[in-house]
Amino acid sequence: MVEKISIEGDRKTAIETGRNRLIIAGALFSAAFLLIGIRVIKVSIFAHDDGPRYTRSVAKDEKYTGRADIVDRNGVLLATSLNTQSLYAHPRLILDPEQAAIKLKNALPSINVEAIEKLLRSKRGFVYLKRRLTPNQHYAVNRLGIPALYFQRETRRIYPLGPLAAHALGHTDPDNKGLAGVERYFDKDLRTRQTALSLALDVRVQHVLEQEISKAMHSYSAKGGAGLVMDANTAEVIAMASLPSFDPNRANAVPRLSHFNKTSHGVYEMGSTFKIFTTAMALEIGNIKLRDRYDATKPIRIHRYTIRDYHAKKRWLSVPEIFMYSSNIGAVKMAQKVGKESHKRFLTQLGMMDSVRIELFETGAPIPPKIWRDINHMTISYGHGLAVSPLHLVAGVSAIINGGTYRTPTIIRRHPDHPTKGNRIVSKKTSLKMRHLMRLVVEKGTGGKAAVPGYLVGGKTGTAEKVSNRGYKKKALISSFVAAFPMNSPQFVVLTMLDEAKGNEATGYRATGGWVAAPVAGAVIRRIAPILALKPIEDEVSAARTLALKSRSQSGGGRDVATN
Amino acid sequence: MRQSTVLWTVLGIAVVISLFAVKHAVRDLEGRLHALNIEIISDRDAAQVLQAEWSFLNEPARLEALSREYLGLVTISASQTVTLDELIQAVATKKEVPRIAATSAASKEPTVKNKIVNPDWVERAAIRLNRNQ
Repeated sequence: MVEKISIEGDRKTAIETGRNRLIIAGALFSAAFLLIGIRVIKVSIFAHDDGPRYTRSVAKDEKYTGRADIVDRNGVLLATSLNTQSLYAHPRLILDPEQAAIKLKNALPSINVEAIEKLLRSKRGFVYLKRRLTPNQHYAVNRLGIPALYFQRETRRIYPLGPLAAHALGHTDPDNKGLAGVERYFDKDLRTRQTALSLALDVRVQHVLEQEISKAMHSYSAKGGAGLVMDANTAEVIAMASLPSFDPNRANAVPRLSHFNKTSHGVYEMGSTFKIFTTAMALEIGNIKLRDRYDATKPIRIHRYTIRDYHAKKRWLSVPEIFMYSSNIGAVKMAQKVGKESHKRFLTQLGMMDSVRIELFETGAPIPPKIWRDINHMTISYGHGLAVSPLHLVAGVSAIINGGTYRTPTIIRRHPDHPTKGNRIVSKKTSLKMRHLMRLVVEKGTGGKAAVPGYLVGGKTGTAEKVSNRGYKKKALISSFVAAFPMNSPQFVVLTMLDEAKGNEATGYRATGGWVAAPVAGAVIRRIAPILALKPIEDEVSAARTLALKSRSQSGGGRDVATN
Repeated sequence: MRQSTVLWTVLGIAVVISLFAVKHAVRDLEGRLHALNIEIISDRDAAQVLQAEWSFLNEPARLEALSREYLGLVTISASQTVTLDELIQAVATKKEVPRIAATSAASKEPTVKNKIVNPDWVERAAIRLNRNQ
């Protein structure tokens, strides 16, 4: 009985076990089927949410290379990014390093077999063999079929025009990060933008400017040179040259000094070109008439300084004569009539006290005197004692002659209807008089060598002694010429500047602005005026006379220039 | 009951077959799309290289030297500038009618083939890049 029960118990247990196992197996299977079912539903219905799609189409306007292009105002490519392939290897996976190196030599003749073999024998996991292959080299290496060699796509910044406009453009480091110029200022923007960045520069004008300044640098053995061309009405920088220059494709191949942008970063005491501002100020707020006369017979003595004229006439001079012959004494007297505070305020309005807010980080802050003493007030009237960048000067001159509106200079192309915001500095009347005065400088004064038939060039010479540790260096000059054309309706302002030019036989060993910088400005204008589509004036004499009459009618008539 | 079973079975098989067909078609299309994308990207790269090359060839200093050497061009002077109106007038007085009309009809868009890029150009541009390193 007991036995039977136990047998029955055994059987029962066996059946129970069997059933339990069946249930477990069934449950497992159902769970598996359920899982598969859920997965099927998920894959078929929610597939698009789940992981990346195999392929997607390339959008029409999709950006294909890392950094946006930079183009000039006419769409000429200045900077672009190209895709290149770099060759690398996993040395541990290379079977026969010697053979591989010899084979590679066939595909890439420029490599050094021993060096490559050494690289391939190294225990490292990853070595670059050659970066930035040409498409043909890429193909040749691929064809060798050596295992464990791989390619990596890299973009590389290219400046097809080489050193042209290098300072404005700047350059990038090997990781395509902007290091200078526009590349640096717009670094973030260039990484993300879809379209090319249009600069205000015109490469043709830029080329002419760089070429002429470089020629002059050679003939006058100057240490450096700088030049600017600006649209007088919109304050767009059409060309910006700083020499010596560098090739942004090989930015590190030249000394760092050449990377310095003299036009926006360098500050210099500009010399007599500042008389444009002094004279405009005198006419505008000093209640001075063109026919007013000032005693320029004797040098001015103040403290231990003597202010004398370079082109001394030793007589009473009218305002146009002071300007034409660049009389320091006259300029000082005009400034004194305006007063120290007004002088300072006027120059501040013209932006001479702050860095220029152009789209570059390389902008130099002006160096004004710490305290405006009377002597500073006097020297600044003829451009000494206040150091500004050439860009400051050109922007200021543009304001004086364009009808009196100061606009912040820009290196980005602007729509003609939407220029940068402007501030009125002087009246239209004063602007008109200044055009006449600047024309006189070229017609009869110190700037005669800048004349270009047909384009009614006006301007002002400037010669400044460079500041040394103590006082001024007599022999080291900054010679400059700031020109505008055509003077009856100025469109462009041109600045040429030479650093430590030495006179040669042709200039009678003089290195002043009128002798070395003015001819450069003339040569530049002669070449760029047709490029900038300016129609030459057929009868220049009558155009100049009209200008003179207009300006005189503003000041109430009277003879303003004593004929020599 | 039996009829509906048959119906569902047939429907089921039809759905399976069409799904299979669609899936294959999609895979083919995706493959083609992928190939086209690669081609687009490589063409864009090539176009980019050509643009850089074009800009390089148009470098003002180079153009100046070439036009001096082969075309005998010199800097334009103010007296050489005339407006279009003046030119037309000058031509009209000489009773010569400019012939411009004929060419416009003949210029048809050239058909663009897949490989528009001359490999030599790409190579030359690339060599230049390499030299710059």
